[in-house]
Amino acid sequence: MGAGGRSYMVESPKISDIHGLVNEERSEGVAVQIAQGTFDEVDYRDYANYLGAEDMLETLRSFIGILRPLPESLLESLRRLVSEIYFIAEAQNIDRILEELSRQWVEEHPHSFWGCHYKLCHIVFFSLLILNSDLYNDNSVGKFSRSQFIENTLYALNKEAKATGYTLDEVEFLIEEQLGAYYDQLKSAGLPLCTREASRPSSRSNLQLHRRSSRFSMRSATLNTLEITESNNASLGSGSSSKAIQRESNFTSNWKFHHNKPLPRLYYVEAFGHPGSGPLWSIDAMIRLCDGDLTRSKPEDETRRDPKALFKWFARSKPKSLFEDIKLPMAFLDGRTRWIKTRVRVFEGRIYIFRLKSASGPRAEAQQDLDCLRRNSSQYFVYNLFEAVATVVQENVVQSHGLLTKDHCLRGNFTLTLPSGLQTGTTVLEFQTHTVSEAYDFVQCINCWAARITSVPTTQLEIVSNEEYGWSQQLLTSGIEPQNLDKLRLSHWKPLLSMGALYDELNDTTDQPDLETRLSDLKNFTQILQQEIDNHNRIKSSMIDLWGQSKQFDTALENWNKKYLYLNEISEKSSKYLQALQLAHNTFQQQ
Amino acid sequence: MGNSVSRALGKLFGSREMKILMLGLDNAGKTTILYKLKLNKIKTSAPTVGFNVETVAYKNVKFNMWDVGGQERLRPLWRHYFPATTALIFVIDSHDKDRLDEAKEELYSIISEKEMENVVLLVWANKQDLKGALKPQEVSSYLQLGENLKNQLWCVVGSNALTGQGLVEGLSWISSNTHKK
Repeated sequence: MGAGGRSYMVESPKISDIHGLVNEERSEGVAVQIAQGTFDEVDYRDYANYLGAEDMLETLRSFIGILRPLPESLLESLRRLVSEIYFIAEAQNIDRILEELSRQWVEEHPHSFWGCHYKLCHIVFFSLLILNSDLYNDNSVGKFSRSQFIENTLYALNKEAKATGYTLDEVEFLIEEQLGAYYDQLKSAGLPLCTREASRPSSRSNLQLHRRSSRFSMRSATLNTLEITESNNASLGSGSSSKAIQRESNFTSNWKFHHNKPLPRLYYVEAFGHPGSGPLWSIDAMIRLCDGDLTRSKPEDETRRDPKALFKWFARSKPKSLFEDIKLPMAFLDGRTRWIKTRVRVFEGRIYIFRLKSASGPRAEAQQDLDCLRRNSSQYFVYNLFEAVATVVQENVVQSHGLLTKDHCLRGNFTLTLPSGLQTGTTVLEFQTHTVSEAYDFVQCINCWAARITSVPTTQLEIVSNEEYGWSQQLLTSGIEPQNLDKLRLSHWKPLLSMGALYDELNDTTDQPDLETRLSDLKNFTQILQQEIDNHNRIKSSMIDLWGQSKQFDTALENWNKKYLYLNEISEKSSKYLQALQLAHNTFQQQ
Repeated sequence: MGNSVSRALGKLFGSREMKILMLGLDNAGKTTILYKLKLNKIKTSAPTVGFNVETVAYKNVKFNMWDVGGQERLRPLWRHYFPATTALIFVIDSHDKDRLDEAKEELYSIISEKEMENVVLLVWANKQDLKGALKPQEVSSYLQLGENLKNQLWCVVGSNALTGQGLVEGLSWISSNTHKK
């Protein structure tokens, strides 16, 4: 309240009156508009959330006032309310609206057996609404029975009465009777959802009362996703549906590309870094991809047009080297490997792989239109680089030159490991470049994009729980008896699934931090991770001492092992990403 | 993301029917989480007057969530939903330090109900994106879960409902700790 609200202040009390009047008029005006459905500052579907907001009490009061006279039946009063306003809202907002309804109802019906206890009416209103959701919401499980409803509501009423210092004993049978009647009435006719002609489309989002809601456009986003899913399923046929589902999200980019849908931007746009920024921004060349049974796929034109065939390429080649579930580069070491020429472009967070119709076709021109490339390809594939890691094979494998041809010695190889979503394995593509340095260029470009768009997995390390894996502080420091150890409930450690496993297309890029932020996040993370690994190593010997005599030794140590492998894996990836980002940072800074 | 989350749920929970109650003070971020998780309704059902009841459904998995809130006197009403609850998710605004006490009180008043004693508890320390937000470790010590919940499995996961960080991790934790029953 401002200073004007106090009469002893110098300021004229009239001014405060005027403010009061203006506010009151405004509240009434809004309330009337809401009742008429003409208030367009918020979407009509958000009226209840708006009215129920904490600071809207005046308007709420006016609005409930408009509904008066309120019927004697609480259920009918509730019906009156929901017939005037689109009544789907958050629980807290519903709570406030019903509380005001209760106050005014009690005011109007002072001689009912509820007396002046508006709080009791509030409970009944709320309970009726729960009952309505319970009976009529398709999503609700575990429907109320009549007696459950009565019992449950009475329990809450009694609790309230007791807390306030009176008893309902005398009227309990009346309440029971009334609740029973309400149950029957509600069961035969649910509360109608108010839909009014005045439901003019509003530009405001559904969740406009929420924090940073502008970022949040999930409704429309989902429709898109849904459309994609269904189409994908259709194109994959009904056959091995489980496989189709597992692979679905991998194809989102591909599907969109194939159907000329715009591909969403995956990254945060920086002031630096643009198409001319060199190989860290985009790279495009004819390189070779390890071939499975690509040659046995459908005739070219059919392949291109028929989306089924597009997927078959991958489905079929799965058992072969193209999608082998291994991380070690094998094709490179295998003299019999067939390589096919592909045009590969990496930019804006995606990798595009084209198998051109004529392998000796035009040389790579960096600016060549994707559409044109697609038209000239018998097969193509687009993959987003969330969580992807590329590695130069020659970094790890040193071959004896004597066994290879000269040509072979010069060539570079790199692998691209892509997460397979919810499947346990990963997908590895192996490429061969003309030179080792070209392989490095590709790897840097891929890792740089992947690092820019992949979020840093801090959550996993910060989780706090009382689950026992065999290494809790308490366990390692307290001298617990071996026989008690055997009885201890040990959980099996496994990394929790994260967004990384789902890496679907991002629908809004505002969530992506800029390069600086990501770089510093990643730096912090790698430090924390290093500590975590050190800690984990440190506890191993204590664990062996502790569990040595226990039947659960294997379980405990397997937990240790799993976590160790996991930490190592993310550590390896994070350091690759960190390198890539540092490189990008330095390169772009110089530009 | 809604779509992939439901797929994740399918994979995580198999064909179990889960009843998960999500609670928290107002403005903790429940609705945002709900919407981030949901939105895969293949079958569009008619909206129902009243509360946000959402099912993230995939095949046989029904992940049922009520947006529960309101004043203390209304709390006993939710009791009806307690008995068959598989997991309780409690959402905390890690940035709103002034209301942590209130949140803690609410959490204990629910978790100490008799029907809730076999429920696994997931706490989402939400709004981790905001500067100064309490880390999961800090939230967990504030809530004194270790001292108070001796026989119940609990877990605090940092989350950011806007980006989805921590959401899948949390559900995945629930999944790994419920099928033993």
